[in-house]
Amino acid sequence: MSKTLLSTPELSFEARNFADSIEGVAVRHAEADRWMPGLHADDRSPELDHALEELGWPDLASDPSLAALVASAAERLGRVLVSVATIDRLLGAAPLAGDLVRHPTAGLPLARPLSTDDGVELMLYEADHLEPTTYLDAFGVHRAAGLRQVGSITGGQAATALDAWCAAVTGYLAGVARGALEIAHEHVTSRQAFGQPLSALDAVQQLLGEATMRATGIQLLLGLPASLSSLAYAVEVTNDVCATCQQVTGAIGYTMEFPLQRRYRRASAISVWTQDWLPRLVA
Amino acid sequence: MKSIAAVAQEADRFAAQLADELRDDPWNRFQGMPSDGESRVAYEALAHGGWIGLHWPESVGGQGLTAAHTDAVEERFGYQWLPLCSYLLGVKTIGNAILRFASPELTERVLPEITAGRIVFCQGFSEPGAGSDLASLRTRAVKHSGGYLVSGHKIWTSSAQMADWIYLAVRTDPDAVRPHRGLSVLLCRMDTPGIQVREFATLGGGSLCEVWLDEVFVPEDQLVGALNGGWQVLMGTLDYERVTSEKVGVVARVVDELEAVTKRPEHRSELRAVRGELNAARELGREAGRCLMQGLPASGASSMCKLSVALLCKRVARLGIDVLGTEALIDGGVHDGIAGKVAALRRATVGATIAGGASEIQRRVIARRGLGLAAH
Repeated sequence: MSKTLLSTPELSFEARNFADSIEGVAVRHAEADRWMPGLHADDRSPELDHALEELGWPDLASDPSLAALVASAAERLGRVLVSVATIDRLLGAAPLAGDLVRHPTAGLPLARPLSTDDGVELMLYEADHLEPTTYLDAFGVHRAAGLRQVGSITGGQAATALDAWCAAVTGYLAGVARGALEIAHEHVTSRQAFGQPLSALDAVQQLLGEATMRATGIQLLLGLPASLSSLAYAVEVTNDVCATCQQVTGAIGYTMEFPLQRRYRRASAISVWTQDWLPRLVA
Repeated sequence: MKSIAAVAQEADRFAAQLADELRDDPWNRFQGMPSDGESRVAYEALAHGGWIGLHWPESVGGQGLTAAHTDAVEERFGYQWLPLCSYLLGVKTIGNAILRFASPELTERVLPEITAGRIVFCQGFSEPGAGSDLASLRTRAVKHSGGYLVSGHKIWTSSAQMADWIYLAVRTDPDAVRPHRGLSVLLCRMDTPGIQVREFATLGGGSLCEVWLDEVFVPEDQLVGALNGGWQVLMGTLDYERVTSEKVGVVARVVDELEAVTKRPEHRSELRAVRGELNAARELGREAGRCLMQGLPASGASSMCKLSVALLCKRVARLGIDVLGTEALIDGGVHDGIAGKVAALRRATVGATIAGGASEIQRRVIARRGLGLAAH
């Protein structure tokens, strides 16, 4: 895929270097997809977590001066499609939506935001019991029973962590969309139909033209300060782009052997959790 | 150099005052898309206020600022719902194209007249048999003693009823191997004998024109770019036309006003995403502007901007109706609160995905120029 395919925001030297380093470890520790319909799956990689920790990735959630580094680095994580647990690491807790929790970790609380008159807090919980459940993606989803609040993160600490998490999810989604487009582009330019590449068909060009515009738009949003509106739009776009890419890759894209379906599932799964959280994040 | 924010703030104040002065003009009161609104008063006021050619060189009457200043100012003009058709054609599109493609002599002759507000341009591209398929245009220009005789029929020509000049796409070599190789671009005065104009009203609240040209003489020094090299000029001109910052301003205005009256959580949720889409559209415009200023290939980026803004306009008009319900279609004019704007926008956005190149064309340009996908 050519560099001009998707314009990306201009990054500082520091941000580009950091994103390159993050991508490097993500590629080295990327896990094969072990998800299948009806299986409980969890794609976390302790080796990747450790490598990211050495690069200082979790520190981004506690230092507002590092905010500019988050989105572009998370974009690389999304493009490589490492576990979403790497993003949730910025919360220091496992996200809770209803009584479902993704990637619960021993010793870490469960969390969901709560909007108050004084701002947004991160409410922390423990559960008596966690029951593994099947899910659309390898989120290690469990159903929590006996939830009880054990504390909360408030004020500037909550705001900094949630801002970093929002920027990271937005970036991650932009990376998922870019990865999906790259796969689709490779397919339509190599697959022959009616005696020519698929990419010569106007119907294919129409679909990919609009998907490229949308995916470029959310890439460029990563150059702005993180916002809930950017996150909300990134959710929409990544779902649409992945669905379009599935359409142009036809039957092969529908198979588990083809890498695109993983992006499609990832976009759907992140979206539904993000949409549960978005109204709670509005102060 | 003044900051972009400071210049935009100044533009906002200027535009708000001018919009107030124009609020009772019947043509603008019901104009759903400011980019289609006409007013010579507004155009001259922009010139006298020093708002024309902000990023053009001072030698041709410009201010020597950057394209980013201009984009920000155009967004504020759209936000204040100024009638902008003459400005967008003559300055943003044709003026920029003249600066890029015309000879220094022609540039020095024409641009100072534009910045002074003395020339309103219209754009003669489409024809009955050449709209999206622009290379099929049939208006002929034949060499004739120091110039050309032009004959043909142009349609969908905004501003022709009041324009002083027309920026004209013509066929100068009917025998060229491929249709797009025999085209040229000419500047022609609208008071030249042989030109007739008919104006007709549109759904959006403005008008379009058709223009007949019957052996209209154009001096040869009014050729823009190379003879038979018009395709490159035309495509470059469209790159400027498709950076629609003013429509970003229009959408921002409607979103701001909708936000103040939206109560239902599902509407607030959609408004949040729409604001993200609005910011993305603005960034796509800036990216296209950056490519144009740096002389980089800009067609893919310009088409992304055009497509994103057009789709966004339609989405916001639909959302406005969802939020306001039946009240949304009370067509009381754009100064009649949010309902008047939504009703007018609903009418005008029919054209948003057609005018300036249909969305299907934009998607194809992005696919071919941006993604490098093969042509048929």
